[in-house]
Amino acid sequence: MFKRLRSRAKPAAYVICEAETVEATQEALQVRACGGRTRLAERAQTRIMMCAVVFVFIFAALGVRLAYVSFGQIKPAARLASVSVADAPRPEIVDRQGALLATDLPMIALEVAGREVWDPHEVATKLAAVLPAIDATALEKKLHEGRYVEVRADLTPAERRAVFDLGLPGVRFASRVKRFYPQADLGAHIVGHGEPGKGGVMGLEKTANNWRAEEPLRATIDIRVQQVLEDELAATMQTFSAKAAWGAVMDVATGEVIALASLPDFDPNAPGAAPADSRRNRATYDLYELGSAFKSFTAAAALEDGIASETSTYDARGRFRVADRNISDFHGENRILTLSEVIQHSSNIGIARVAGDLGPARQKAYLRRLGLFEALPIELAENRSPQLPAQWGPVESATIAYGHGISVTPLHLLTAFSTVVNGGIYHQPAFVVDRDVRGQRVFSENTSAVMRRILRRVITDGTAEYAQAPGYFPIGKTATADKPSAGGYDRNARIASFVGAVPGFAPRYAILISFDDPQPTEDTYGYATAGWNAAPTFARVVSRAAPLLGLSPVNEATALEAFVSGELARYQEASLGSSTTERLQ
Amino acid sequence: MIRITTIFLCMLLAAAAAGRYRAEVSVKETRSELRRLETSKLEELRAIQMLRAEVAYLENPNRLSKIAQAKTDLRPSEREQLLTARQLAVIMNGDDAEVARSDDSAPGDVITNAIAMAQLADAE
Repeated sequence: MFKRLRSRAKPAAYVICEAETVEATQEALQVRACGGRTRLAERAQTRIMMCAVVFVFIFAALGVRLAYVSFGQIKPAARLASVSVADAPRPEIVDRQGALLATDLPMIALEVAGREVWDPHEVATKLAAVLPAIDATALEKKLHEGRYVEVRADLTPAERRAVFDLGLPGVRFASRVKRFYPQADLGAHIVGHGEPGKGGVMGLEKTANNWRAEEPLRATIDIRVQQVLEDELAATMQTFSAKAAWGAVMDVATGEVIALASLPDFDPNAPGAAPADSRRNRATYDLYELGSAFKSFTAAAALEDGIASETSTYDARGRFRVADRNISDFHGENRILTLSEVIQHSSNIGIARVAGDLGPARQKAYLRRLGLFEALPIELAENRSPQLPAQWGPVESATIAYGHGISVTPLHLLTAFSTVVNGGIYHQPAFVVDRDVRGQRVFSENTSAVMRRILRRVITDGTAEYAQAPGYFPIGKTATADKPSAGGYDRNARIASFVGAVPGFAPRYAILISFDDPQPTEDTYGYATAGWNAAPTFARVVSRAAPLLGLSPVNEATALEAFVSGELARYQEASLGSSTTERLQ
Repeated sequence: MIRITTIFLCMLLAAAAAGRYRAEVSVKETRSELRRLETSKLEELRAIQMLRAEVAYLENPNRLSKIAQAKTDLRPSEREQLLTARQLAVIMNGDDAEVARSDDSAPGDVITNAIAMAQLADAE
């Protein structure tokens, strides 16, 4: 209880006291109001003031809240944002031009709860009338048993409306998300596929498991070029009754893979429908002895080390014996050949002699720098380390010089070949756009220019005359390798390959074409070597794909001038400018 | 004075209650509208997604190639059908003798004869 006391000298003093103690101080103080009406009025006034203060505080709080609600920013509820994330749990995969390769599609599932159905026959019959594909008898049987049945997992909106209009009891609709691959089997080994509950299990789909869902995963492939590559591979594979085929197109300036095919292939929309063998990516996972294409690496290493020049000569007569191994030529010229002719005529003897001059240590060093000793650091899980010989002596050095005794993936070969012809810079292959594509120099520009001239002669005066693509002046190397078998090599089973680049005078794209065990035909006079199947396929791919890639045909004078001068920069400048534009689009 | 203050405060209380009620109703309506828009947006996005997938399927190069082979005489372009922009400009200027020299141009954009013919027709 408060009592207001006032002393004579200083009237505005307050003390807190009990009613009984007031009497003790009455002599010193003058009691002005301790009872009656005045006292009650003062008390009421105090209470009203206190209430007023409380009201003012409440009104002030309400006012502030009112102003905030009226004029403030309302944050969207968290659940609204989470809806869209839940509906798009996996990122889209698109090609370098933005064409859709894989996406999530919202689907409507039709389910029927058997226990809630009054007349299973009626429900099954009416549903079958609207959805002819379903088996009415089987459905009726399941409903009789009271089972919960998912009739269809992919209703269209029109079908949903039709079923809804039937007004059947026990019928329910549920939301589903289906992964859809609109390009079907095109680029299937790069795109990969997923499995329910596991996400992506192969190819870029597996890479997408760790990708931000909001942004599409942009693959380096161009679906148009992919179609050209697959189309031509399939046609030749059929003509030559080959067991399998694979190929790839690579941007030599960045290492980006523009197309990569492995046949037979599969449809990612129904991966289980194809045998497991068809789902294997032969171009990045399988190891092969890819044969004579390795001669270009050996020759480039010899040129770079200064132990050989374009005109250095090598005795390719008869046979060449290294330790206990006799080396002979398939395209036997049986004469002394220049280094250029060794490559042109694919002389095993000549290149084995070059390797002998180079020595195993330097040969290994160059092949290592070409990335042929380790698994490629690509975005696809389907890749493997090369298979190297247990020991690398003179015999191994000689055979590896022409691509026997070392097994690499086809993509290894293409990447190394790109390095030889692109000015000498090694770029790691990439399947996702905008990855770091800085390269490492392996060969000088001069070595690369000499190799381009030599590899051009392979087509004009060597083993690959059918690789000619008018206007694009391709360069390249054939490679026909016997397949390993128990105790040696099978002379009747081969891998026929052609690895080349266009335009030959200033390469922008390297292309690999390979066939597993192609058979001779009447048109090829009983031959099934790379010059008869892989080389012409390469030429057709170039003719069809080059315009899509923005390559313009030139006349012979221009090409000749570029080959002789070896000026890569002048021609690559225009090419790379175009490439940058493509990337920006 | 006290009575006036009390009445004023009561009126203020009533006004505040009414204001808050209106604000709450407005917020509810706005949220409801927002939800409707979000749902509508989601449905639109789904429809767009379906259409994009459909377009991608229809533009599948394998599918188009089969249709082109079955229904048209279209074939992959040949080297002779391709011109650079510079060559095209020379042809359009009517100086055929210059075409050979202009063939020396560095790699650049590629224009098919079909486009060239169309542009020539427009020029005429």
